[in-house]
Amino acid sequence: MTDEQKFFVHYTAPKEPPPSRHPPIRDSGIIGWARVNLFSSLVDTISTLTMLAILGFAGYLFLDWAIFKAQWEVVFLNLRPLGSGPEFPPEEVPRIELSIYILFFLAMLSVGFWGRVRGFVFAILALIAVVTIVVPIVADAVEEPTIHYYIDANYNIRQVNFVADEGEVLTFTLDPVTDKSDFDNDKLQGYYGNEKLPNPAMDAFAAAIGEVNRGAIDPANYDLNLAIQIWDRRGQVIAQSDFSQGTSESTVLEWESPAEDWYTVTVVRDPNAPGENGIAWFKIDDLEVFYSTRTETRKRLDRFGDPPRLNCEGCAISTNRTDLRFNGERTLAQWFSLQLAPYLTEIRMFLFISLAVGLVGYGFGQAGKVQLDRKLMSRIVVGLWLLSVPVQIFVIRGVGGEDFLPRLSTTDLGGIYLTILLSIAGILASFPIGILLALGRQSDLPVVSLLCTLFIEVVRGVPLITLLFMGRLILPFVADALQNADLVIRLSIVLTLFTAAYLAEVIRGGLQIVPKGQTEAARALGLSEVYITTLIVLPQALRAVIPAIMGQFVSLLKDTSLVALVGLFEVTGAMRRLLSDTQTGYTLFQREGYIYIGIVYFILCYVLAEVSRRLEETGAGAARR
Amino acid sequence: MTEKAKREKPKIDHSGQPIISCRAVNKWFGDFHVLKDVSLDVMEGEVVVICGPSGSGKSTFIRCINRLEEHQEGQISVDGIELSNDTRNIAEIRREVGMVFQQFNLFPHLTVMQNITLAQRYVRHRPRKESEERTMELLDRVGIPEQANKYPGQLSGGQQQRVAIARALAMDPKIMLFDEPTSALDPEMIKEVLDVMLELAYGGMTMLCVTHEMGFAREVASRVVFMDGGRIVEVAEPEEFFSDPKHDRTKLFLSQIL
Repeated sequence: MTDEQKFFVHYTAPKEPPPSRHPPIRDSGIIGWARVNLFSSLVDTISTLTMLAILGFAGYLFLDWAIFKAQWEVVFLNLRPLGSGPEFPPEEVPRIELSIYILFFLAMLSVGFWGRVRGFVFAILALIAVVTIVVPIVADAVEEPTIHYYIDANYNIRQVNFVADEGEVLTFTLDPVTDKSDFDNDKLQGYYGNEKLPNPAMDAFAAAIGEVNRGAIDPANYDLNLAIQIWDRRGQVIAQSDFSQGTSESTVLEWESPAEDWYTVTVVRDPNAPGENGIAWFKIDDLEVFYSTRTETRKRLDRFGDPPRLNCEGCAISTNRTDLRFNGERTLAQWFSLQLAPYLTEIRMFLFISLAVGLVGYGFGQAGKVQLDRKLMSRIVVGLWLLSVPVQIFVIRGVGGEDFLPRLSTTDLGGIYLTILLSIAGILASFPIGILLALGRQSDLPVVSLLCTLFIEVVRGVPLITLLFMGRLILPFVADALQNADLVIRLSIVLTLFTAAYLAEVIRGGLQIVPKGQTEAARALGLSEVYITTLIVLPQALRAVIPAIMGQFVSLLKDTSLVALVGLFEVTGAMRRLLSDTQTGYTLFQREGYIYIGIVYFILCYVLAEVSRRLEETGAGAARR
Repeated sequence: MTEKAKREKPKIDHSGQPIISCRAVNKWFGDFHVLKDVSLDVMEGEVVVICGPSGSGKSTFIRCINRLEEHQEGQISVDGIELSNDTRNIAEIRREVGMVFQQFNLFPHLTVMQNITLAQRYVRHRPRKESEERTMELLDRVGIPEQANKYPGQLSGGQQQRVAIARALAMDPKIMLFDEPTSALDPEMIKEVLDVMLELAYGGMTMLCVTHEMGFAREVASRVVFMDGGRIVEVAEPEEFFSDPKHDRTKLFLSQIL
């Protein structure tokens, strides 16, 4: 018999247990994780690869559109209406910013004191900060793409204003379109695939396509007699190309700017022999177009005064806001400089102050945790929160001064700020009401229980949008006190009660899973029913349903978008209003607009979800059974 | 063992008023008659062990004593106060009667320290410092002072039950009720809980214990009560109960568990 076989008969373990070892390398680390979770079997491997392929393809399609084709100006030109509401007086916007700084400071103070920010959040914030600084700087070095302008013999007295630096060489090209095959809807597809959207500028080209295809115009009979003209701000023509004389050759004007100033470019027809038939593209290369962010525009106006205004009979260029829109595809660098940089430039002051304020708050919170007595510090934090409520009201409502903090109506509020405001008010108010309703529904007193049940079931049985319309139209007649309450407050009450009804059911679920032994033990100790509920049952019940409660809060945040339908311009409402404005031509940017709104809601909800996750994991929420 | 053998059961003064007095207590769960004419007097300092098969009503009976269950007929008076629907009476009795449960029923969201100070602060209205000192004293007594700042979930079953005992003792009760305190424990942990209970018993605490630990009953019980089918079948001193049971049902029960 060998030694090994003997073990089966008699065995005594050695006195010292063997030392603990690490698991085999193939089961740990990233490779081990991937092996176990992604490629553990043939089916797993296939589904992993399939899902990766699908995700990759979807990501590619989206980024391809978002970076190379989409036009985000509807966002970066309208940050004020999107942030604080279209009705909010622009000069009072700093008050909203101040209000958000206060909120952010307190939030980060609380996080610093009661919790902890995970390393990766700091990494993301640092990345955002760096990107915000670097991108606008780098963006200046990026060449802007060639921009095409459509011109047509029927459009008169139009101009393109631009600022040119001294010595800058610009090239303007007039490209007659004489080949019938160029008149194709594909020419319009640079924007939106096969979907034809009402672009006022492109409508002209679309009409031309129609006429060419009908045979009303033959592009081959091009006989327009056009020239490109550069005017200075005093209304003098300072450069002009030769007239095209009806040839279908391209007309090119290469022009060097004599000084840094406003100029305007236009295309004129020879008044004596204008020509009758033809269509051409107008291209401007290397031009920094006037149309840019609001702040950039402002800067130019401050520096150079108003742009020139032409009064020229033969001008044939057709431009309006949307004409200056980018058409076609851009490079990644151009996306950074034309789409991302203006956005970052617009928000960077606000972003940096927020980050700084948040960091200071977080630092105070962390320092307070170490330096001060826990109880004293929590009193300070709670005290500051309470103090911030009148301060916020003071800042937003104002004191009615002539110049200093004029009084504002809450109905002026809108945008992301109103979304946040409605959410916070709803969360803070619905939570206690939800608890009371849940306790009331479980009450031994039949009347209380019946009333709470009735309220919960009625509210849960009616769609929120119906309730919001009731809040707008009916509530004022129900109670005199609500007669004068403005719409924001009335709708905020509706949202609160709606959420409270759902919360009550969630909390009731939590109350039911607290074991009976807990109340018995508390009762046996002689605790009164009030103490049993507040000290023993509720803390456990609420902890058990933190994910569901936070889910309700996330729902509330998203449900605030419905107030857009009853007349408030929170972020969805503000965007809807922008996108329905035909004057600005933003009707074209439905996709960009709603995707941006989606991103905003996602970020807000993600923050809430992250808070929820932290609550579940740590202190207040960890299951300690 | 030798040390324990030296200890003596406290002397019981049978001349005074009983601290617990039950007269013809009846209780129903719906139509089910759980307690049938249960009558029992317990003198101060007595350790009464209640045993019996499951469903015999023993837990229900001791739960009636601090009004966790409501009896429908008969009288129960504790320390001279009769149990009625008067909530002040109930609160007063609960202050004097501590209870330990089979499932410990510690508050999982509170630390050991908070578990024990809670009732001292909110029922006895002791200042924080005093109640914390009292808590440490009790944790010392049950042998786990180092666990004060842990949560119940981090303790073993035996430690949890000892915390539960400390929690009940923190109210300085005159009477302790034990409802199968060792039934949910691993064999290795039963002893540590029984040791605490023995110490209490030798210290003169009036105790009512529903338990099947016959060793405990033999060593320290003043009387053993055997219940079956909702009534008291036999009450006897432990020597007599184990060596010479009178009732057939008792004999059968003892033959099965010993």
